[in-house]
Amino acid sequence: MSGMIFTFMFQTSGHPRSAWRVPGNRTREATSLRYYLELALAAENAGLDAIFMADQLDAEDDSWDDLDGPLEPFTLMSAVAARTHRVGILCTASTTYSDPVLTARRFATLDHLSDGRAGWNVVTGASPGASLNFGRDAHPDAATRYRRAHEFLNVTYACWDSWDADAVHVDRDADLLLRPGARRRVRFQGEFFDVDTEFPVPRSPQGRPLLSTAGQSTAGVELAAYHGDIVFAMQHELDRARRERARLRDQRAQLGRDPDSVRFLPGVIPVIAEDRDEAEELLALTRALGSHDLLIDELSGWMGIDLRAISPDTRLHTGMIHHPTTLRGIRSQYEEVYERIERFEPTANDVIEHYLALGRYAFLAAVGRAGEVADLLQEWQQDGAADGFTLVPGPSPRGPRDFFAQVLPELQRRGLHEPGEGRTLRERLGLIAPENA
Amino acid sequence: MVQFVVSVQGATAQGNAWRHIGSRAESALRRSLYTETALTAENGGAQALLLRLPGDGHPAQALQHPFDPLLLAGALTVETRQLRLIVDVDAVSEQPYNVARQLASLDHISEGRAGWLLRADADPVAARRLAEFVSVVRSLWSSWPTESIIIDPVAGVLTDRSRVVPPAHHGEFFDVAGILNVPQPPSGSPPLTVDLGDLDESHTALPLLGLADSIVLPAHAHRARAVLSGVRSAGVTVPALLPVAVDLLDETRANRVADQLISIPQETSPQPPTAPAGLPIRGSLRAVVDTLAGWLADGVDGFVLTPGLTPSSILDVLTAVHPLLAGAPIPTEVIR
Repeated sequence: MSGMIFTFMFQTSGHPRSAWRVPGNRTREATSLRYYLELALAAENAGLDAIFMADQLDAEDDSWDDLDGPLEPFTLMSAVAARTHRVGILCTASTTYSDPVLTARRFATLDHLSDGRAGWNVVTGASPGASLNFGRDAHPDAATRYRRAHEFLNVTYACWDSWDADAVHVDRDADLLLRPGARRRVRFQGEFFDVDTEFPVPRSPQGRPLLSTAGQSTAGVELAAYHGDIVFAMQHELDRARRERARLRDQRAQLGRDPDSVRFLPGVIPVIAEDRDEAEELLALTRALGSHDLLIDELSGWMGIDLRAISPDTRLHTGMIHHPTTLRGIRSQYEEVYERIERFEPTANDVIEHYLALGRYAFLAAVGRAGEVADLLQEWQQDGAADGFTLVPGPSPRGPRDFFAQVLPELQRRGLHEPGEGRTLRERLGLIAPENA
Repeated sequence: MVQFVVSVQGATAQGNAWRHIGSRAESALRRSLYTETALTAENGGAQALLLRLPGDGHPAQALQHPFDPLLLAGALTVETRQLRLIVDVDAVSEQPYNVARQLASLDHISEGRAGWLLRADADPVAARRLAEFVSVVRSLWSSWPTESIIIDPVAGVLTDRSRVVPPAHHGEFFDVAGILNVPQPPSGSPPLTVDLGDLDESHTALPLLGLADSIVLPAHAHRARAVLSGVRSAGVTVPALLPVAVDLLDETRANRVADQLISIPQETSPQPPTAPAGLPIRGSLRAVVDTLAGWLADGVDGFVLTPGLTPSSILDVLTAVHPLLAGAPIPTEVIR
């Protein structure tokens, strides 16, 4: 297995929520192509493996989320692909609210246009509000969403595999554009999809784009074990991350596949400073700018208790809050909160302060000088808690540039991150697609 | 001003043009082919590129439109500066919320150069659905207005929620709450081109026509005239574009090109069952100018240039034909 993998989340304002208020933040450029191209080239030049773009299918009540990355991923990333040469291009696309043949067509096209650098972050969710924009009565329950996701992926495989790699063969004299028999009709019948079509895009350089998943529920880990090449994780405690990674690898092995063929990449917010004081100052600033109200509303909604109505010193325990299985939307975030309450029985105020500091997504915050950040990431990797990381923009208006300029070279010096060799993203990461899923 | 829209293709199926020595069929999967066509169009003074959806899978069409048009448009955004990028939209497989996001995003990254094309359908139910699709997309585009975006870090305000306009649409075919999660596109509302290629003169009362910013006529002389006169008498005044596939066959090139044309048996492989992409117009420079000028005199406002049999057909129209057409009330006199 090669070195650590680094992907970078393509966002304008960072985490926590209040980061956009730090002087110098560039949320104002959230719809500007130039801004994204600048970031993409910085990532590519630093030797990052891939750029990762999240997606949402509805507007939040709080427009922070929308201005955090408001452009549709396929549209923006096809432009980014045209201006970059080596970095991977990962787009999020939902299996609940789109069509598998259409999605397969878009990723095959992206793979061609990027010369084999396309990746798909498979999500089943988006927020429950998406159903109201797509003419659905309700957001489907998790079991249905994951059944549909498996079938959706199998349809896309059938599309991509319907062309042989050498199908295109232009022979003017023989009046042939394609080798006879090298393209087959896609026929698929299942619970959700009934497909009988000619897939229009010839096989792309990678055959299948790199597949990324994110869910940490049981069904989410199962989807990752079956289909994922990389897994985007939300972890900030080493022990818990190590357990989650082991669970994923076990499930992969149980399917008869090499556990090294799936890589576990926790999200990390690097906060890099000249010294620890400067870093703490930046964190304190974002905390001061942060909105208690939004966070308290969200936590209260998840837990099913009004955190404002109880004393801040009240100790919380699982008997007084909802179990995560009762949530219809994205569960992973609340599962983290729930487990924290189960383990530590913190006060209401502890919980609020904890998530206010980390952002409600509770990513790992790596705070300190470049060398200290590198130490932390190295520790996680060597202790089996990570195969690499997804960089999440933090409160620094310099964005990921400090990480690119200071931490990545340090990790390279330590031999922990080396640019892979190969023609495609899969080849460079050593993650070759199975012949048939 | 005569409008030219260049239809971008990989390996052209019409008339088996891809079989010409000099056709770029081998490059149909290379981004550079599409970039070169886009630059030919932009440098030649065309107003727009049209990026078509893939065909129905006929072997002769296999490499004509091998890519998704939205992604191709996104990639060509960075290669061009002036051209409008018109994306062919599959309103059957897509949902209006996603189409609104994609085109708004394309409009943002191209600084207001996005456009979209829908193929009109004569079936009354499909026609009503298309019209509803357009109105939902447009109401989504204006749901998060530019003036509502504040981004004031001192006050801590990103958006003035009192100015957003959720569509709350509940129609015959779509239910869309909104708002869109992409801010209003810079052009306000990317223009809609409606393709009437499948229609005849009896279908000119479609609700979609009233929503069009321009129309594309059938690639067939008689039907194009009939549809044009039908829509004009129905009160539709937006620009009408005729799809043409032009080949200049004159002077020194005449013999060489004509030889090539003859050497390719045109009917060897069965032609795709769909209508040709462009009305074939072949002849000397003067004959071509006369023909196109005749169409302009008949009320056509411009042309969709689809590749002809000769590899240089689009370049020829933009560099040789266009200057003679521009501002030429009686083109034959200009040539004399």
